[in-house]
Amino acid sequence: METDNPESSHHFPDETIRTPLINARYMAELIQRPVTPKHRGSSIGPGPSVPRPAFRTPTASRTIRQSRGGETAPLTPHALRALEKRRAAALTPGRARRRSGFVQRETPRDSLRTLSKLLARSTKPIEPSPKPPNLRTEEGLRLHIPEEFEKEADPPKPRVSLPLGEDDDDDDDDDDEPLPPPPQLSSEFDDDNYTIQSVEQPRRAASEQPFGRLSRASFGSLRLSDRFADLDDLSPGFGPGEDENMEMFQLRSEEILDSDPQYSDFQNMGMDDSLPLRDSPLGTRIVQAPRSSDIIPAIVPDGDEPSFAFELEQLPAEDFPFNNAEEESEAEDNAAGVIVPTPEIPNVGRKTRPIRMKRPLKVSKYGLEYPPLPPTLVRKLASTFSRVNGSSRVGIDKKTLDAVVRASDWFFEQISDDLGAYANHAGRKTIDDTDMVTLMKR
Amino acid sequence: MAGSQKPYPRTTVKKIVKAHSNKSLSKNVDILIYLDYILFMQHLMREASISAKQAGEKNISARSIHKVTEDALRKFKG
Repeated sequence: METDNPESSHHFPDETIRTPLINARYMAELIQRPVTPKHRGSSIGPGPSVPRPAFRTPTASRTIRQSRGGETAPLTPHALRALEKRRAAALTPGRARRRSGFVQRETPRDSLRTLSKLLARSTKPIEPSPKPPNLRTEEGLRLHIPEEFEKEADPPKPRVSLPLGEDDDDDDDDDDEPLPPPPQLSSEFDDDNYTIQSVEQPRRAASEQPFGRLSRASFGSLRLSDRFADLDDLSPGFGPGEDENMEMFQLRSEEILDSDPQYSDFQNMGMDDSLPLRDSPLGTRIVQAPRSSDIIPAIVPDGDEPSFAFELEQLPAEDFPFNNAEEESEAEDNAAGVIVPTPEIPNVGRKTRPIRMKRPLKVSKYGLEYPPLPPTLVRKLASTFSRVNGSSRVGIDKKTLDAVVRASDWFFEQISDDLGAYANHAGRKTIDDTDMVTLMKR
Repeated sequence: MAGSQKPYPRTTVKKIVKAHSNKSLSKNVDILIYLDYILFMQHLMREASISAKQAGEKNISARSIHKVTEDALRKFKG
């Protein structure tokens, strides 16, 4: 009572309630307190006694003290204070440490990362646009690049790499191909084996993809997340489902041989401006000469991006006619047809409409044909919605309409893919209202 | 918009979805799908017009639509 708080606490229960249990506890505490320091002092090394080593470890002793304190602590202010201190010590420095750690974690690399994330949003696929002619398709790679770039691009690369390497390389100039230094190797692989080298490719193993998905590179088969960052790079690896590619390759190779450099360019043009090709791998693309010609007049008049506009005017001439014999005559006709209407945009749309009718049905990844959504409908919707949103009178030119049509194509492919997946999951063979409801809920 | 005209080519929409999903459609799903498509278009055009404004274009250009398409599609993904 007089001197120490712990003593007072111990006396207190004894005086008020003296049950045998409390007495026993009290005794135990009294006994152990004198005992434990002795043992610590006497045997610091590994003690022979069995039970005590457990007590001697710091964590164990702490827990024991706490547990014991838990019984007595509420009673003694000293123990309370100790507990509070311990808690405070455990909590506050912990937070501080975490904070400091957090700060430390922000390395320059992380900041660069965040920067890259920010930039990735704002930057557009326009950057790859200079490249795509080469990267569009594997065929493009194999046929174009080797011819054009072997003489130009390759020599500089070895020169760059050689000074980095050893002097021996200079002697081995002729043997570069058999014994390439690592940088050279990579560069060559980029050209030849694009699929192997591309970083994006392995995201979906070919084996994992269901058959239907393999065959078609589109938004349905390919999640947006896969191709968000670099669209153009993905397409070549993806598009060629290998079954198709063989056919395609044969078909295309003939055309390509005829007009080498321009074919790839033309592909860019016809297919899309900045976005990756979705239709490209499919047979429809090649079969539809008229469709691509359809697109062209729209692009030419707009001519936002100079490169595209220029290419378009030249390219259709050689590329449209897929029959080699008629190439020249048709080419001239097409070129003339394209160039004339360019000034008047609306007229172009009307003129080309009949051509659009000719365009064959598209083929889904299941090999089923389907009619395209009528562009007039799309235009109507687009114009109404854009008008509502305040931009006073919105003319939707051909190029824009094309983009919207493509977007809606993708939308339908995506949505029907999802709906089919839902129905599959439910074990149904028909797509039901409930599927649509779940889709809308997501 | 079009009073006497049919509101939308129902069979076409049906065919498109059928071809892509390789499944048959129950009775009125195509309507729901079309409605969803309209929502999509609305969203797409709104975003496109916003981005067009930001880019300082008078009309909605194809580029602004390209920009928006990814996000819009992702938003309407099931």
